[in-house]
Amino acid sequence: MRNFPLIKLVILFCIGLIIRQLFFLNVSFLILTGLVLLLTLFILYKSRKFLKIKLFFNIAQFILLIIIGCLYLSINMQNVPYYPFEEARIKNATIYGKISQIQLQKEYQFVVHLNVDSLDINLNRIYLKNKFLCKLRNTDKSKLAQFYNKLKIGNYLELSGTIYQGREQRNPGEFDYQKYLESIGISALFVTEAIDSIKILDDDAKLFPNIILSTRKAIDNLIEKYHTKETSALLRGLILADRTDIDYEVKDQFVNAGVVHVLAVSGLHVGYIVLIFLFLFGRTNIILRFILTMLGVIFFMFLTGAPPSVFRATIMTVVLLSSYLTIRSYNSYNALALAGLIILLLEPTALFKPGFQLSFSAVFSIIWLYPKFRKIIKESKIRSSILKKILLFSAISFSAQIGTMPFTLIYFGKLSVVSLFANIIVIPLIGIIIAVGIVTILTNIFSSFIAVTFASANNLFSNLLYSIVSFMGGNNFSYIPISNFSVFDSILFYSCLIFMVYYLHKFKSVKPKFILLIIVTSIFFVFSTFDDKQLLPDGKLSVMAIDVGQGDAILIKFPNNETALIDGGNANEYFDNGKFVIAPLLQYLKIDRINYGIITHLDADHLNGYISLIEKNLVDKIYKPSLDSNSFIDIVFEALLKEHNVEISYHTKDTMTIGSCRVYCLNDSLYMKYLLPDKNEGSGVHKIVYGETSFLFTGDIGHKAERYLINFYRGFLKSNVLKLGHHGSKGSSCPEFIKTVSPQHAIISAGIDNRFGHPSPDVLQLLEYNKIHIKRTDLEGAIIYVSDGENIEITDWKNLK
Amino acid sequence: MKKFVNNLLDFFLPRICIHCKSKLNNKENILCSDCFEDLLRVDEKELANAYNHKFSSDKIISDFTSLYFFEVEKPVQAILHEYKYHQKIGLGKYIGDLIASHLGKTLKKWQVDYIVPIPLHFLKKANRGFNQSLYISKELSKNLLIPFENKLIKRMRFTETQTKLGFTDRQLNVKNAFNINHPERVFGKNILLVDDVITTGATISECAREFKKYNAKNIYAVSFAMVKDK
Repeated sequence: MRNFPLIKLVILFCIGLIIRQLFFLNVSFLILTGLVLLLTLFILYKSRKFLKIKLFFNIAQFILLIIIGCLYLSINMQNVPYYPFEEARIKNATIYGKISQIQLQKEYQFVVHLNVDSLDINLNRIYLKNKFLCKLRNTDKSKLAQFYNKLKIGNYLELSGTIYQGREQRNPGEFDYQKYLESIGISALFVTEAIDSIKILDDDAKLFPNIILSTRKAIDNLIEKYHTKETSALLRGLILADRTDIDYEVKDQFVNAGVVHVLAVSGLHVGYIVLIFLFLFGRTNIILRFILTMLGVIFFMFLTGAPPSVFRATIMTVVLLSSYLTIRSYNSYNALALAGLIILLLEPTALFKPGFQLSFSAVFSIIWLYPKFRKIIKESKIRSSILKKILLFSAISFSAQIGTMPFTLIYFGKLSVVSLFANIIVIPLIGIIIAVGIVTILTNIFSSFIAVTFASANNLFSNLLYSIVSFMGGNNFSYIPISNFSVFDSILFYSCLIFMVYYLHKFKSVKPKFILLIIVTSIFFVFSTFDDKQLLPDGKLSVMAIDVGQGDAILIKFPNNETALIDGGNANEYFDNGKFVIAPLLQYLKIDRINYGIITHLDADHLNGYISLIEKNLVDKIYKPSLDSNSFIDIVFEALLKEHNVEISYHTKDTMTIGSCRVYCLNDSLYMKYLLPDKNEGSGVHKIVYGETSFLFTGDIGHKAERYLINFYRGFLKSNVLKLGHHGSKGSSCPEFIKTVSPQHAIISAGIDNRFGHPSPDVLQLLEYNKIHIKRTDLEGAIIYVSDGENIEITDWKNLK
Repeated sequence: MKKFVNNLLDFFLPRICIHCKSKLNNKENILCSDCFEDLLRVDEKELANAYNHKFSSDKIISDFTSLYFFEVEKPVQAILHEYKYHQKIGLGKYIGDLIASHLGKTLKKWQVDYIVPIPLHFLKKANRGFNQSLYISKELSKNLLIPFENKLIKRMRFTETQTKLGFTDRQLNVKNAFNINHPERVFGKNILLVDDVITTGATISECAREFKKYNAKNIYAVSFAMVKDK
């Protein structure tokens, strides 16, 4: 470490960045402290007394570097973009701007990044400086392709379409898309289908980016031409770093199997590229070979758009190869630090992004831990050299997994059990797929016939890969869900790791080693539970209105840990709430089953999201309105339930006791069926009572059903929390009903700027008049109430640390 | 200016001593000053001894010189190891410079026409990646202003590695291993053969014999390191 001042510098710089990220520090304060320090250092240096007070000199140096880190982030944070409009969606807007990036075409859409300088909304011109992510869509694929090939980076465009905001985090554990967009410098989304109306006002084109772009396009075309859909999705991810085509479920299986890192273009791929280049140029002069390889790797970096992992690997490769050619020595830690410094100087916020963190932690722990494992394996009594090689290989993989574990747990929430084994098979296979993929592309230049042969081999390899991964990651036991791994836990994990690595080899015999291992591990587990906080705590009744946009989905966790879900939100060809919102949420909350599935009525915004949950066999029993043989949907749905062996029950006046809660179904089946044939009015109405507290869920009922309920149940309707009927529309929640229920809290489950205008201003006014506390999913995202039987508390999950 | 750039580079990519791994200051190169002093020069007497022992039997080699003694676990071994087995090609330049600066006078005295590196068999070259003698020769030629010929002689036979063989075995091993490509250019010329390390001299002798076949005038040999005779 003393020999490598750069490592010290980079670590202190990173500390500075972290401090600035955690605490707000005034820029002028920082500059002032920095200057004072600099001045003292200068005076000390001039007076030549500094040798006597070296400690002070060192500390001052440290602080100065940290301050530089803080300052650097402060300066960079000044131009973080944000969504510049009040409305979440603006139709008929015209934007003007220069193309900074064009992404590969997908079926009926392609994406360009536009540096917008002005826009027209309702005949008003607004000048701004923002980057928009524009989706250009058209149902005519060839017309779109024609336009796609005409566009060049640097063109100045005029486009008309809709500006909208990226999806923010609406539910616990959910990905904040808008925040992500902002972190990559994009402030808003834009979509248009009117390709014809797009005008290229200035066809100025930048040379180098367009060369890279046309290479990407050419490779993309070749990949698509020769391979099956699945293989091209994979190859596009591996060679062009574009993995949008890989299915959500497939990605999930890769996560479960602990091999998702191979899908992101990473150092591993650069390593394979280096090997392939060294092999290709193997017959040339060694100096030429190294230089060509360096150039090849740098080109690959531009081709993939230089994500941090590729950037890092490229820098390290160039440093390594040039150390062969020059007289400089190579040190992995130093090269890693140099790569870190370059990346952070270009983009200091990268330090807080998964790509950077995973890549650097993986490489660091490989450099750090692998030599130790290698020593153990080399000194062991294993004779077979093949077994030794396999062990060495898995040691690399294992080192990387240890180092990245806190990050994988935070970002994916899963600890893969099969990961080590899966990696031993998957990593070489990926190497083969990349190599054959590159060979296919290169041979295409000479003969498409030979290229086809290679491509079909690659189809086989990728099928093999997919089936191995789906076999390993498709099972429930392939991973352990760990959703509440915090930053505190990560720090604890790394401290325990460092402690173990330093003290483990001090003991000679096995016994004390083993004891130390057990002690440190148990300390870790004990301490890591200190800050664990369940969002829906055990032993209490939790009611959570999930934000599913326009629709209903209410998750209930009973004190005995059984769960119920009232409705499942909407699902259509564009977005499936069951698949993308509810299922991940359940996983995040560590809920593996829904014991009581309640569907109030069969409208799309209540039913459709449920279907994927049922298909995943997550639901034990469904309570639904009695079968309506006139409804095609109802018949198909019941068939689906039977197919998945889900028990069916119909809403009828009934009482259940679930974990000391009483659950009442208030529907009179006969009455509902004959007197209120309307679907909404016939919604299932449920009341849950836990101790002194009570919740009332009214589906989509309107005034008619409300009156019926008032007549029939009167005072029994009184509840602390009311989920308003029909998303707060004016057709429900009549004053008498609100008066009878007299809730303190009201939940409104509605979509942002929904086209029905829910909730109605009249209803809101009524609630305000009655001094009822209103919670709306369209304004706040998910809403959580927790009752201990005496009091109801609202959990502010967004600000939970 | 150059010093400043060097200092800056040393900050980002520090250089460490190839043998003892301590940090180098900006005056040192490859080896730290302690390790550099640890290098054991071959003096005149030992050279004469070695000549008698290795080459005097058939007098093919007219004269030879070597810079350092090759000792196990010492800096010379470290340099050659990094150079040959870790592909640190930059070291070839360093070795060439060292030879030129210390032995330049002797080499000039010989009035050499060509500098010829001992060739490697192409399989071995493919395996190692390069011919270690080539880069030393290139640097020598640059320093001494003597033309250098890489394609003059070729190794025909793939010979086993000689590290574990004795003197006679080595002689047999390299017998007829070489072949001259351009006999007409050899005639009457003084030729300097360059190798990284001379152990028994068998390889160099065999190579020289091939040149002699085509009436080369004098064959000289130089190496970076030489194994001490027991």
